[in-house]
Amino acid sequence: MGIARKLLRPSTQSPADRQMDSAKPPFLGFGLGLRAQHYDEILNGNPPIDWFEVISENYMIPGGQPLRILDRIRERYPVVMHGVSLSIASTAPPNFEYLAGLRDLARRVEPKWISDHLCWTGVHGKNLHDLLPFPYTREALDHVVNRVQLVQDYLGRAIVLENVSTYVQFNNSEMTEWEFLAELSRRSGCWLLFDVNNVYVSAFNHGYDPITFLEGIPADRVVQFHMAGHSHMGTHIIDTHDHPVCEDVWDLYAAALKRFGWVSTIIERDDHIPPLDEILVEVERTREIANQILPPLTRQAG
Amino acid sequence: MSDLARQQSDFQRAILTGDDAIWAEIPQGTACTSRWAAANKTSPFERKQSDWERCMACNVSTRYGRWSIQPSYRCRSDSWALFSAR
Repeated sequence: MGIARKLLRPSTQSPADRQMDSAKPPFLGFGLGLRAQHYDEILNGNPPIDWFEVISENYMIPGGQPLRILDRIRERYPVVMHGVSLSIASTAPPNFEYLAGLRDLARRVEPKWISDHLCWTGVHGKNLHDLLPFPYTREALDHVVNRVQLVQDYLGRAIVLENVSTYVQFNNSEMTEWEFLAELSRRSGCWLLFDVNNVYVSAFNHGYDPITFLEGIPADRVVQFHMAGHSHMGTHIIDTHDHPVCEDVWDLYAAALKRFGWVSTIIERDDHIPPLDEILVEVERTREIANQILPPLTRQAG
Repeated sequence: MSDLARQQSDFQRAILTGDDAIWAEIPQGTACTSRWAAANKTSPFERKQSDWERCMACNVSTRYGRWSIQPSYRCRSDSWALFSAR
């Protein structure tokens, strides 16, 4: 039986039974999404950043300067791999070429964890390069649980999945997004990346209370926060990552800290990228708010 | 074909072809709606089309900036050609 066929069988084992690394990822502190514009400042300045998140696909190439730079950065900082093409909810056959590349990169980088998005990016051999929504049905849940287990078996570790910003909803959804995420995490053993800005964006676009979303997520499954800016179009919000974090999202971050406790956090910026010093102000703000709101980490951990 | 597979196939076909008729068929089974779109009398397709066109035109606008680090990656998209051809 080929590996693809073998891995496609629905698994009835728990993550522990499958001898997979399902331990909860460690708290890393307050970090930043690594972008090429900041390579020199990071390598020359050793800025006070606790850890970096890297876009997996940007380094899934054999050799080259980006990989060499990443090697140098990971010598100094903890690194996490964050992908945009896993397409975990796609009904297309699993892309084992992509998974092999992801696994090879993970062996080189030794990331603290590997994350991607709860979405699909294409079917019929196409990649639309967008994080597409799907209906939250029981059928979709079964499909995604099986797909997550397949990926986790292949990588030998539990993965982390992020809620995405959405711009449409589906009439045939049978549960809310937060109910879907909670059940997916419970059944598959995957951890959750709670993107604070995405919750804010989707809540505005679809007219629900972001606190309801937050309260629907099991606190013990969240291992990372994303913080980012967006573009407010008046009638809707687009998740652009091209502005500083807005005050409403900072408020939601504070609420998330109160519910989830100490969670590894990064600032994301993907366009109109400012000098590193400007972004560091936001990184420090994530740290300051956590220190103000939460009890000392050692006391909580003990 | 599962309901989810059919929905994803239709969703993608609607995006790539820009055919309003496909979007019109989707509500019969797996409707795309959003409160903001209805409130502003803007169909989901019109708004999404605008977003996707900006992306596929490789302007690296806004949310797709992350791919600007590795240009060859975003250029793998054959959907860009479909958009350009319309």
